[in-house]
Amino acid sequence: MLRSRRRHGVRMRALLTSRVSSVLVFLLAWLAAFILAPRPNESRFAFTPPRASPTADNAEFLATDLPRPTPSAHASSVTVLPDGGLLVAWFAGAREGASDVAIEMARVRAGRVESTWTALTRAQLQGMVQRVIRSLGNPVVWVDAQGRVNLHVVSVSYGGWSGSAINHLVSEDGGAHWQSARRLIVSPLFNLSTLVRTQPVAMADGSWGLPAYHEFIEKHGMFLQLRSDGAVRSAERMQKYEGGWLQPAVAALSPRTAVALLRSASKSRPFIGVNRSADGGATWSLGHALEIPNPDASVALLRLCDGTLLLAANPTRGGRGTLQLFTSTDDGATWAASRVIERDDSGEFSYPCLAESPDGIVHLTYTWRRQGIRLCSFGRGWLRSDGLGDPMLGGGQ
Amino acid sequence: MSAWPLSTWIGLFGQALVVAALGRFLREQLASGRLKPLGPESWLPMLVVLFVPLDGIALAGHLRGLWGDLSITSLVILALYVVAPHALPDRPARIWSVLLTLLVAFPLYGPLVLPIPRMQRDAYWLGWHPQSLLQLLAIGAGIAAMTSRWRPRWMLVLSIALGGYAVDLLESTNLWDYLVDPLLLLIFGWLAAFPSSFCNPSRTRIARRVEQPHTE
Repeated sequence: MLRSRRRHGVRMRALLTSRVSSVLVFLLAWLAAFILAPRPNESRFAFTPPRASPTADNAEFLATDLPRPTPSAHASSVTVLPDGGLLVAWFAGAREGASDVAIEMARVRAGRVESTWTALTRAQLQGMVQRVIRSLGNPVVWVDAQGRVNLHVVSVSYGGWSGSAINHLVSEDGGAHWQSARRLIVSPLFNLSTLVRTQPVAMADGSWGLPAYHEFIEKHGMFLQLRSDGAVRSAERMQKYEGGWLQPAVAALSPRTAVALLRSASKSRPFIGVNRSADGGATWSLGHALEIPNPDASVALLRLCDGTLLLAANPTRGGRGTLQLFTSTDDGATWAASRVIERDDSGEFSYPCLAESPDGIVHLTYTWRRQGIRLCSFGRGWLRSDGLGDPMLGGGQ
Repeated sequence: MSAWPLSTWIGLFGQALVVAALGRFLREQLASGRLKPLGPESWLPMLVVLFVPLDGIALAGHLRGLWGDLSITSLVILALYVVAPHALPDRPARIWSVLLTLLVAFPLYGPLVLPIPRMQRDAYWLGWHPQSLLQLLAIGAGIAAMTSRWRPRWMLVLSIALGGYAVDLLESTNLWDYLVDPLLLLIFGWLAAFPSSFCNPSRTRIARRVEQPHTE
């Protein structure tokens, strides 16, 4: 019995290691990989033609401070829920990078905070992705075509922010519970140093494009094309000027074109950087940096329903004490200064995020003095009626 | 725990295999005489890594956080080394170890991927658009099959990696991550630098005896 089993084992090994059988096995595996591998397709953004804004004559402005359960809060992200309410996410804890930092969320409707909760802790994410996690940061929250809330969140296992990776989670109940946690693998070397900060862009085929950036050794922008299940389909590098450029904010201008505005970490060129794509995000080329200064601070970009581009930024040479809006009606070629949201040189009003409701109301969230998150909602009319007479700051293609 | 996808289990098991293989390697270097496949020097560290928690997560999760998941190629080679060392593919000739190390190290782990952002695309990008990479593999395999360079066991390892890619076995969707990883490079680099390592006389005897009828 034992001898027959041993003979059988030897025969099996001989079969597996013979030239003919190994060629056949290789052919089968190669064919499977070749047939099931993704095919190149023409990438297109989900683009809606401009229409008149329903709030063109609405000059209302409403500011709401979100609850502050912790000493420090930063990096908010806002999205409009299918029921018309807002979902705001941010990270909060003792200080940035601390092990007690968690992702907080708030549901807001018409300026009233309906509920707040701790949506994700370090320990919860650690259990879901089965990797050690030392700290959390930069949540990006958005709603997909099925109405599910998606969360991309940066986590660090070892080292600082340049050792980060991006995690993707999905919630079927508006952000109360999370499932389908997945790590986005974007780099061959220990998947080191890919971060996210700004809102994704919908693609025409139902997938998503996620602006991201790389920090290890060099800082440069990236555009991740995601499959509908959240896995990475491709990662494209953005181009850069001298120095470090990160946290691209992307807006689609047509089904094939888009503009990305980048935070400058460059000492020689402290202005908002520009990349453009003419092929649905498949490649990116360098544009002329805007003349709007950037003190190494994140920017937010949104294409409003009437086709106007809206930019929120800290337009100073140093510090994040001024938060201001800018508009462009020529796809980002020139920019006009609009309303100043905050101004106090001793304060920090940073990391803005923009969203627009179907009813045309624009929502802006930002870090308020690192102590909390402030939400501002306004009509398109308020944006237009600035009355400041600021000069056109100019920009470039 | 049951809700974890298969890729998570594979990732955790891969870390256990790394530690098990390290245990076996050290024992081979220190001990004389024949080692049993999957001896205690292998399975004990595996159990510890998979089931002993530290700060709320198994040790395997700490290793995963440090260097990520292994490629399928590394997984198969480590599994064979721990469980059935006599079935391991032949050690590649030194020149092949050097060539393989350079071929993958330069485009994937060298300056082409990390510090040159002006490059629009790099070798790793090809792993997301793998048609040309797969065609190159087929050409290489075709040449090897028609000459004396065909190595059945290596090709079986490669086939398992390709099959894994076809069914999305890992968290990554990049073909490179199924074929190579820094650990595999380390192994090839080690073999290139120290060609006589992994050369336990008793294991070599076993391997020779088993492999004699089907020389690769």
